[in-house]
Amino acid sequence: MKLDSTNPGQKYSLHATRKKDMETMGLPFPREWNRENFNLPPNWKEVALAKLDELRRKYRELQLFFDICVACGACADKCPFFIATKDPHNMPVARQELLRSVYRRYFTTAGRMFKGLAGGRELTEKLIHDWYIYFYQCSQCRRCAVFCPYGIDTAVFTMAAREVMTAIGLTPRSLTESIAKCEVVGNHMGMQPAAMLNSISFAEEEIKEETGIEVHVPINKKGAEILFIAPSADFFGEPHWLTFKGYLKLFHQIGLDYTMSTYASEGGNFGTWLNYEHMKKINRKIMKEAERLGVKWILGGECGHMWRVLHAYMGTMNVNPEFLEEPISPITGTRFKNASYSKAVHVCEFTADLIRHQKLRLDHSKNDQYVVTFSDSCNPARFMGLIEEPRYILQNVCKNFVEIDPSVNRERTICCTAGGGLLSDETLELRLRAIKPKVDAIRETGANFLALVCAIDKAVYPEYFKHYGLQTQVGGVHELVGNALVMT
Amino acid sequence: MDAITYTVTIVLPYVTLGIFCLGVTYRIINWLTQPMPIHWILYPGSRTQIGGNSSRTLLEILSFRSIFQGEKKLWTTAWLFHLTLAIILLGHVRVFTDFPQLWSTLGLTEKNVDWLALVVGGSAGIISLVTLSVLLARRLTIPEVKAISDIADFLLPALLLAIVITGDSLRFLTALQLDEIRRYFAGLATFSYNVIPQNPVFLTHFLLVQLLMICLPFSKIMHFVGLLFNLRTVHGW
Repeated sequence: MKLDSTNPGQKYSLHATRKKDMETMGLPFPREWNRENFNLPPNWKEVALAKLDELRRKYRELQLFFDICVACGACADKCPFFIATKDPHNMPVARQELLRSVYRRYFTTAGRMFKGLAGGRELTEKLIHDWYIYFYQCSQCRRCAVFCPYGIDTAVFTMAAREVMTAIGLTPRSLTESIAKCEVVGNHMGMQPAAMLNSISFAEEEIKEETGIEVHVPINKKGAEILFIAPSADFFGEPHWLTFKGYLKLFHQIGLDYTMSTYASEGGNFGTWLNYEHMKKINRKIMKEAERLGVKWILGGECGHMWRVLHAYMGTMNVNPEFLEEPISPITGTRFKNASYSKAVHVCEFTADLIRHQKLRLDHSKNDQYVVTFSDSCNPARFMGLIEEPRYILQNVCKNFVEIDPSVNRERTICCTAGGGLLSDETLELRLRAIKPKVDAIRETGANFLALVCAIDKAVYPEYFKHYGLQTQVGGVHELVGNALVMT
Repeated sequence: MDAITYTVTIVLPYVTLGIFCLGVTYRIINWLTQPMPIHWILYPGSRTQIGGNSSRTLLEILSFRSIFQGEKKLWTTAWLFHLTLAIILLGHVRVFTDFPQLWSTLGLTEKNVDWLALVVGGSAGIISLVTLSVLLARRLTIPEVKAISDIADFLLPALLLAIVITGDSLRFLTALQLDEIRRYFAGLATFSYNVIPQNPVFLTHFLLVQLLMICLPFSKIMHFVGLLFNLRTVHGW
């Protein structure tokens, strides 16, 4: 694969956070700045190096990955952004090297003595500009880590570099706008509790019109068994909305004792992509609300990075959730051992278990007009191994299910390329180029319905298909479940 | 024995061994004692930390399967190189001592063992020379691999290459008396010093190996320990 030494990746840089939002969020060094002129504080270098030193002592994986990469190159052409741009800095190992070289220069004996000869690099403002570009051209999808013999994970570097950049006041607007809304109003969409209630009652009405059945959604109900969390896009996004109705129909049909919350109205967590502090802050609301409502465990909707936080990080991030119990399905009695650490169950696991125990009456003829395919999302696939469950559900709710070429799907998936804070107009062209291998693979399947389990996937695929001229419809797994479910 | 010979042949080996052992231990303890405040999971991984993760890691070490699924050419050379390296390291035990008891239990004569060492060790020597050269050539010729290589990525393979070349010439081109070398190492082990064999190729080989052992704890060759700390786990199902 040829390299493009003109660094085409330099074109795609995210807009700066407004001073007002920096103040709202309590970010360091609130000031006017833009992506060309960072207007860095005078002591930025000391702050950045102190932060990097703190991080490498705090995270074993970061220190380890700094030390053991042998630059074998197995990851080089696995990154969708490298495939799209051929920019040398977009090779996962080269992206890591932007940070690793600084670590070598300032924190290893050889680097302090021999500098460049030991693979070290001075921390300059020019390098910080490269960080701001290339660490925001990583969607933290971790495809590279699957191919690395040591499992070295570029997301670890990306998170660390963003943490350092946040400490010196460099944060992109695409993230902070949503995080500020989430921390002030309650969710990334900036939706007030009343709007959420409104939205839910609309869903109830629509289900009544479609099926004639009266569905009642419990809200802020103390003492419910389960707290149901969904990404806020599900409340009115298109095509998320149909998936949302799918959940509600399902829960009504099986008589689940659950509640939704207007306080924990956001499952997603854009803070994950900025720094630890804001990830923890946003996640904390779910824990607080689970404790206040006295639920036993948490059921989560179709979302990508939400599952990264819920499944992997939540167990240690906000005090081990000891007031919660190991999830047991009230309908089938199945104990979800995989969730005993985090007490959060993915709705696909839950539904797959219901189908397995034949608790649902399904009529796939409602989905017969579709040839359905399923695209794995990076976080559910690589952070929790949720690969078979959605497929099991789809094979039960529709007749025509086809697979995408596994070289860009399953654990090797190239997913939406819009995660990690890249969901913005500045990166649209980059994303369209990066998604091409996946879109080609979807076109080859001949499917006319693409089922997804990620809110960002659902938001961006219609745009990608429009660009590449595919007629494929986009929707959620539980949209198809909702269609096929025979309600009584 | 003059001062220089004494320092190089008697003192240096102890220093080397000391740096190597302490260095590697320090690195391992450094990694082990660092916290992991957030949990990292990487799928495909194993579902149980103890049984599954160890067997998965072992399989990864033996087969390099992550590279296999991505880069077949790289896998062939890298796997063969590491395999022959392991064979060579194992074979070097005989440089220090012999196991007549073991050979007679296995029904092998001294001659059989020497012949076996020549065939297996000799071919391992050749294969490691070839694969190492290919790996080095790969760094120089493939643009994206060249772009990610820094100076250490060339120096370390070059040092290894020099060690393999001198080692191979000891095996194939030199009439080396193993007894003499064993006496020398036995002397070091029992602090009753014997004269080092005066073969220039052997001396070069021995000094280069010591240089490698001194650099190793502070270099990326530590990946052979680091890969034991991988993330490839998923929560138990």
